[in-house]
Parts: sequence; C-alpha cells; structure tokens
Amino acid sequence: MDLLPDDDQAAIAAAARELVGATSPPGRLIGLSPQGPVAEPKLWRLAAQQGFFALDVPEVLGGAGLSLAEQTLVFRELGRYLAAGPFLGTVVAAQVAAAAGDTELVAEVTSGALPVGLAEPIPDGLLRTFDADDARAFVVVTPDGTTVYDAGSTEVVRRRPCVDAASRWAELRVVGEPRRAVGRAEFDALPYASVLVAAMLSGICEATRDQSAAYAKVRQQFDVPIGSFQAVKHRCAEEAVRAEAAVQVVTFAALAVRDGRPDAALFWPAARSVTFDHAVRNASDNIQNHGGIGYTAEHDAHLFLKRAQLLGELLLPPRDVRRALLEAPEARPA
Amino acid sequence: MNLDLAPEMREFREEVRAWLRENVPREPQPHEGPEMRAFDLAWQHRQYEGGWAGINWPVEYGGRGLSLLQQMIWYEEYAWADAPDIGSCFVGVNHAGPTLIARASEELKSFHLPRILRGEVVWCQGFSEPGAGSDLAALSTRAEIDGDHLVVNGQKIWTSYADEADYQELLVRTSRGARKHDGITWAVCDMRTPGITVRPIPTMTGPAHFCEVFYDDVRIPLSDVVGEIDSGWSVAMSTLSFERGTGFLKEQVRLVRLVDQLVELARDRVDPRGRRRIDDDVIAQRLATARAEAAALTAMALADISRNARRSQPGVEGSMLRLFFSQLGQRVAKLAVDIVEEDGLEARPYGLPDSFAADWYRTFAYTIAAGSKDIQRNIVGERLLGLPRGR
Repeated sequence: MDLLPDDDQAAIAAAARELVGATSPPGRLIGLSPQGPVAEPKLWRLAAQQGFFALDVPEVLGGAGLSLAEQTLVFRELGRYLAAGPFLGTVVAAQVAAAAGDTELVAEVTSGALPVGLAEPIPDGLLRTFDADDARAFVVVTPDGTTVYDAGSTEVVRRRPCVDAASRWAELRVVGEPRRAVGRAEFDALPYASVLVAAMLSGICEATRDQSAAYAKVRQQFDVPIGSFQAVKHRCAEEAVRAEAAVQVVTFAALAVRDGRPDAALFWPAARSVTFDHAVRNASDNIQNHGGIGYTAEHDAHLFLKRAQLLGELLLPPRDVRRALLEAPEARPA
Repeated sequence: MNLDLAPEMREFREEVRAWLRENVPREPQPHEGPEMRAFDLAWQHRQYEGGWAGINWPVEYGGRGLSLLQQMIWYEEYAWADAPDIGSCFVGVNHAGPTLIARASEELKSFHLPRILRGEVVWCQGFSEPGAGSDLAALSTRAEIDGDHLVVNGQKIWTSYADEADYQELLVRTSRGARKHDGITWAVCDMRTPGITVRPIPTMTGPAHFCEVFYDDVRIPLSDVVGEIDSGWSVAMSTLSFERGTGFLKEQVRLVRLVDQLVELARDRVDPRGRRRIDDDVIAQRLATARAEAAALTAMALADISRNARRSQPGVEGSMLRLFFSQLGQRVAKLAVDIVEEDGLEARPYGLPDSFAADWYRTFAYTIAAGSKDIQRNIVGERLLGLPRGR
C-alpha cells in the first residue's frame, strides 16, 4: 500500500502539468469569446500526441495500458489550469470504444480527431452538454450504460449561457442512431467519470491554495506581507489542508474503482463530495485573500469558483452524491 | 499508487484480527484513579505478552522491528475490534518511547523502553506551564546544575496522568541564551522524587487525569538528561510531528468507524413523532458529509504513512492530518449529540457507552493538545507554504 505516485506516475503528472500550464493558463479564459469552440487547439493536439486520451486504454487497442489512477494525474492538471474543451467526454468515449472492442472508434477518439462531448439525460427526453461547440460526437452516460452519438445524430434544442466562460451549454435531442453503446457491466462510466471530475476539482483546490500563498507573500499592507498576518496565513493553511484531503481522497477513490474494491462505493462519492466542497471553499477563500482585485473579472480568481460550481453539478448532482454516501456499505479494511 | 496488500501483510492482518478477537478485554475500561492505571497497564502487558507491543520499535528494546504499514494494520484492526483506549499508557508508548529511541543514551533506552512496552510504567509529559502554552519555548521552570544533579524548581500544567505516572518527560530551563529556544533541557523525571506535588484539575468532561505539577528542589541525576544540556528543544521537536500525525492513527480509524455507527444510530432512533432521525434532511446531510470526510481522512492517513515510510523522521505534513482529524472529530461528536437530541443532556461519565455529550466535550482537547490548531496552522502556513513568520 502506498498512496503517493511512483517515479513513472510523477513523470506523467509533471509532463501534463508542463503541457497544460504552458499552453492553456487560466487567464486565457479572460476575454474568451462567448461563442464558438473553447479548446486551445495546441493543447488539444499535443494532449492527443502525448497520449492523454489513450493513457488507460489497453495496449492491445493501441493505448498505454495504464489506469484510472494515472488518468487522475492528468485531470488534476486540467483542473489546475482550468483547461477548456471536451477532455472528460473524450476519455469516457475512449473507454466505451475500448470496452466494445471498437478499434476504429478507439483510434478516432484517442487521436483527438473526434472530440467527444459529455452529455447526460435531462427531463423531456433531452440531453444536456457543456461541450456543444467543440464536440463532433457526444457520449451519454445513463444509469444503464453509456452511448456514443455522432454530433450529426443530435440537434440543439436550446442554448443557455453558462457561468463558466469556457463552457458551451446546450440541450440536445437525439435524432439519429447511436454510433456505439455499452452496458454498465462492460463499462461503469459513472464512477470512472466521477473520479475524474473529482480529480479536476482537486486541481482547483491546489491551484487556489498556491495562488493564495503566492499573493500573500508579495502583497504588502501595514508595511509587511499580508501572509505574516494569522488571519490570512490561517486561511491559507486551511486551503492547504483541504487540498491535501482532496488530492488523497481522489487517489484512493481512483484505485478503489480501478481495482473493483468493495469500498469503491463509498470512496468515489466521497471524492466528489469532498473535492466539490473543498474546491468551492478554497476558491472562495482565494477571492477573499486577494481583496478588491479578487472580485474583478480581470483577475482569474473568480474563474476557479465558477468552474468548481459547474463540475459539482456534472453527472451526479450533490443531492444524489449524498444519497450514494449514505447507502454505501461500511468500508472495513480487508 | 496502490492499495494492494502483499500476501504476508494479509496474513499479518489475519493474525492480528485473530489475536484481538481472543484477547480484547470485555469489561468496561475505568477512566479514573488507580483502577484506570491497573487496567491500562494490564492491557498493555497483555499486548506485550502476545507480541504486539512496539510493532515498529527496534527489536533490541523489546519491539517487533516491523514496518509502519504493519503498525497501521494493527491500529486499524485494533479500532475495529473495539479495543480499549490506550489511556494512561499514551505518553510512554506514543511519545516518550519514540523520543528515547531517537535521542537517548543506551543506558536510558535499555532501562526504560522494555518497561514501557511491558506495561510496567505510566509516563506523563511535563511541557506546558502557566506562562508557556503555545509559546512553549517561553518555559521558565528552572534547573540548576549541582554536582551530578539538576535541581528543579517551578511548575508544569495540563499534565495528563501526572497523578498516576511513574516518570515524566520534563522540559526545564538550564540557561538563558540569546534565543529562548536555546537553554532548554529534556530530562526523565522520576515522579517519586521528593519535592514533587501533583494537583489534579477537573475538566469539562468531569473528573479527569488532568493535573498541575509543582517542583520544589527536585533532584534529577544528570544521567537522566536526554540529549545535551541546553539542547532539549530539538529533542522535544523530534517527536512532536509523530504525535500530530501517525501517532493518532488509531483515533483516526476509530473516528471513521464512529461515523458509520452514527449512520446506524440515525436509522434506529426515532424522534417523538416517530420519524427516523436519518429522515431529517439536516441530519442526513451532515452524516453524508461526515462519511465523505472520514473517507478523506483515511486517505490522508495512508498518504502520511506513505510519506513517512520514505524517510526517517515524520514530516510537517502531519500537521495537516492533525488539523483535518481534530476538526472533523469535533463536528462528528456534535452530530452524535444532535442525533440523540434530549438524551445528549444526560450527564454520563466519559468512557461509558452512549456518553455522547462527554465524548463531544472530550473533542475540545483535540484542537488544543499537541499544539493548538492555531499553532498547527502557523506550521502549515510557514513551513509548507513558505509564508513569512509573524503573529
């Protein structure tokens, strides 16, 4: 048992961090057009080239043969830098294709040629997505299974502006046939995708912790850095505690889901609950720590809060996370 | 990153589980007076006889010389077996012992360590003073060197188990240098030495083992000094991180279990109108959050063990674990009181089953002892985040 990354895993995390940080810093979202595609083309291309989408696809299907645990390291970095684009839907679709043994679809998705948006059922037989303008396909996660549709098999019914500047919110109707579908027994998308949502939220926890600490070291008031005041220092320390809890619960959940452990039923909802709560609180404290500039749209502090807010609603809203937490069996070590 | 237990570790877990099943005392644990001492020492001795004392202590001092992971497995099973609190053996086993292992002379180690493990002695910790709490280095209990002895005069306070203890880890001021951290000495104090007066202090949980200790020309042989004269600060600091992190592993596991038990309690209990407590949305929300946070605590504890297994000294990350654990423990204990409603008003001594209120009051110590939460936040802010010092 060891919860920390080994050398190979640390290298994956470092490579992802360097790539995402260099191509797509959070500030990119400031002034982003409210319409049209949001993915940074260079990031999307290089992410595909570096094999992000195929990290946890079996080697026989052309993937790297790693697991959800490694994928959480990449998604933590995507969360840290508020990367825009249909990353989550694309890796979920890659798993659908892999589970179905559809090598053609695997190749199309993992090469980045077919960006797949995440979609979920909403009332009136419609689907909801936040990836409308980048996706060329959609992957729909339901309690029974997961289905990939080409974008041409759907039509937009309604569009809604989203608080997250990098999201393209649309309600869709299915008008064509599925491209590929798998049942829950072949691929259980909800725990998988939930762990990756939690991983992105854990990245937000870390980013806001680091932004707060960096600012508290340089911002001077009363002739000293504000980080020397306990009121600020202690807020930063609690941000560090929340980030640590978020990162570690995500790792544990990823391993539990990957290994099919009985405690996965507790840990993946726990990861969602803790990372959502901690990301919102860290992002809020980060705005407070920045004072006036933190309230402006010119600073990126508010972007972390809004992304956290969106991620908290994806796939399983908090009320259902709560139910899953209360229903999960107790987790005795085995 | 993996949660796999090697086959030999699984065997170890089975062995631990089987032994605990047969050996955990079923009679209630006394929490006061000589009965408490006798019970705690007898239970420690039974663990020693079974080969379970000092799992990761060196073999030459009576320990098992096993890994931190095995220590964790022991604590996990210990908590799941509802084994008694370590109680008055805490300081000896979890603090004085590790400090002696790290810093004491061979003579002191071979004298004290086996006695601690065998359950023959109770230790207490003489650190805090009326004028030196969070600012521990401001301590002023004086020790003059007189021949081959220290002669101690002054007062310690908040000393758990001093009224039952045989030995004390004692911090005294041996000189006043430029920095107050210099000039402190760490010594083993035999509590039977003439000149020591112990006064118990009742606490908010009721009568307790909390004490103040007065020293009037107390003579301690220089051979009982650990480390050098005037270098006691570094001796004290060498194990505080342990006390804040992995040392509380069993309490962490117990807290995780407590949350699961509260879910059951809320399913069983009904309010006066016959509604199950768990059907109260506020209770359900708090229980769900507590379960999630308890899962995060499990993960944080494993991460802390993973870190410490890679180095020789526990790191300051233990303060994050301590902050998360202590505040979660307080929320969960209050939640228990809120689930049982009126029954929480019944005055029941700490340590009895269903003593929800006393259990809650007890958690107020979590964010004060072993460095208050404010001090822990300073440590995280300054040593992990690199923020400037200041008050």
